Amino acid sequence: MNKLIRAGIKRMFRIKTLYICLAVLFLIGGFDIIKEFLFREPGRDLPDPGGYLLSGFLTTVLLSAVFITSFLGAEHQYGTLRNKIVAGNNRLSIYVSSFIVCYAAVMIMYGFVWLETTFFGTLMLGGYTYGAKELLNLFLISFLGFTMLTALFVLIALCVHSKSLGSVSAVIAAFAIMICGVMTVQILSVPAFIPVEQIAAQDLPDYEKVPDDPSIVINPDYVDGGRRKVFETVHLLCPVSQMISSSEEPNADGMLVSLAETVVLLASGMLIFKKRDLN
Amino acid sequence: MEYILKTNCLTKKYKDFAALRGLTMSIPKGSIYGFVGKNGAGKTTLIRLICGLQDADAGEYELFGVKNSEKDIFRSRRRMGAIVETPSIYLDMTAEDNLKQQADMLGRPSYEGIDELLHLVGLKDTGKKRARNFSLGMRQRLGIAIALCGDPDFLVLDEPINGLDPQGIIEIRELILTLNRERKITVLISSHILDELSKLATHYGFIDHGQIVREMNAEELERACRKCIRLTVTDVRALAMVLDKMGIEYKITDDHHADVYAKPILSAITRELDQYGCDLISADERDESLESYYISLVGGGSHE
Repeated sequence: MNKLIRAGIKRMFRIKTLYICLAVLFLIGGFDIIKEFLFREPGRDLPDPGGYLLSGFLTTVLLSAVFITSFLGAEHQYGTLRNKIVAGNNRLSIYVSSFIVCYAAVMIMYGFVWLETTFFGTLMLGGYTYGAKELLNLFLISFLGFTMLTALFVLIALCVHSKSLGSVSAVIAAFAIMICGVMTVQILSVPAFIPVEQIAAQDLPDYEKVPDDPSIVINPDYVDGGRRKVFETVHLLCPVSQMISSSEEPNADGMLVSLAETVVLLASGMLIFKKRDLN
Repeated sequence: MEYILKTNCLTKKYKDFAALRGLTMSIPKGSIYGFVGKNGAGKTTLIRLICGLQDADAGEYELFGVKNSEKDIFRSRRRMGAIVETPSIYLDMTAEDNLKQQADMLGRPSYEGIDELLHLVGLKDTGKKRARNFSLGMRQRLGIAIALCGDPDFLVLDEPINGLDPQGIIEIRELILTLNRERKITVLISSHILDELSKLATHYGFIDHGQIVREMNAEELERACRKCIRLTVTDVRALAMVLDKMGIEYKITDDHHADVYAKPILSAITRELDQYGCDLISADERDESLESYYISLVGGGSHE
């Protein structure tokens, strides 16, 4: 398997796809920080560069879907998977090595985001104000989140025999995960109550009052009961949602779930890949 | 005789279609084995099975003496190189990078020998040109170079001359002959272009509807396809008596025709036939090709 990993890593650097992804990350990440630096409103506090890690995370999710399906889809398209099988490698080794190589590529991309954010952030925004714990949590959540996402995209790329179909499926999956994550965080972060002073006097009768506390009213947008449980489950399952809501407190449950998801996705992918006929 | 590949009753089904129905064949070491059959006969399916791309539903095969059910089959496969249908090459890489990639995948410690391989397949001067911009023949040759990268003892080529121009066909033919004669590589080659195959193969396997119809070596095929003179007469029984009397080998094909496997003196035959009141109407030289022999074996039914 070491041979396959080595060959995969070398191929990763021989083709343009990774460099294009890094260039896109550089442009998007750098542009965001430079724009903030140049066009910030006078007197407004500079944001923490850590905030830009989130946008880098989202861009990397999308680019990793593109990279993995393009990188592995090419093996189907060009028929080069056959060379690996004929060379006496079993399918398990091929699958695991593909996962490792793709994960390395994703980590290179996200590592690049951290480097870029830290460099431009320190230079233009004055460096991180987030605590070390918060940054560590961000790192851990994104590290595990990308493990799960890589496992998902590798499954799609290796088990869908068409490169274009695989790419489209992975990009749709990436968008779905991102939208799902953002929406879940938005919904779960809606407060249960609203202070009365924040509501216009003529609108107040429309709100349900809290019997014990006249200073607040019930927020009609607050989701509770069974629906909240659903969104909380989605939050636990979705690495993007965990990344967005990352704080100083480590989200141990979320991390464990990401690990479990990775294992399930890898096992399912290997099973499908092992049983499918290759052309 | 030592065999590189032996299959025993291999069966493979795709849903309701049986691509292989108990296929049994043997490829002798050092041979160029021509695998002949029409589209859908099961040639590529067999190649896919022995390459490990698919699993058989029943039956077994031995590659270098190792059964497909044994763990060592993966090690045996390292001794083979293959092109299945289309050459397996990275189109976004140069010929040299493709070979380096294959060398990395095989775990070779260095890129030594890559120049020699490029020279062997005639792609030494392709420089930075990506495989995407190669002609079909160049891609085919690069595919062969990749298959040769692991110094295989057994080369499997599935339709290697499909779509090539005459020059490309000659180049591939010469290359295969060189590999077989100089490097002692056993070659399994499937092809539709039967006359071309007859210039290469030392052994043949004729496949039809997922079964081997006949296996034979080149000498046997030559005997089966040998030249003859077809005589057309008014009385074939009289002709048989005359030919028996003259000690000439023949085969009666119908009431008026017989194939004579020698160079008979026609005037002598005519004189003898005259005594039986039989006329010699015509004498045509016939040369049964591999193609016509194949048709006689499997019939000229529609292609699937």
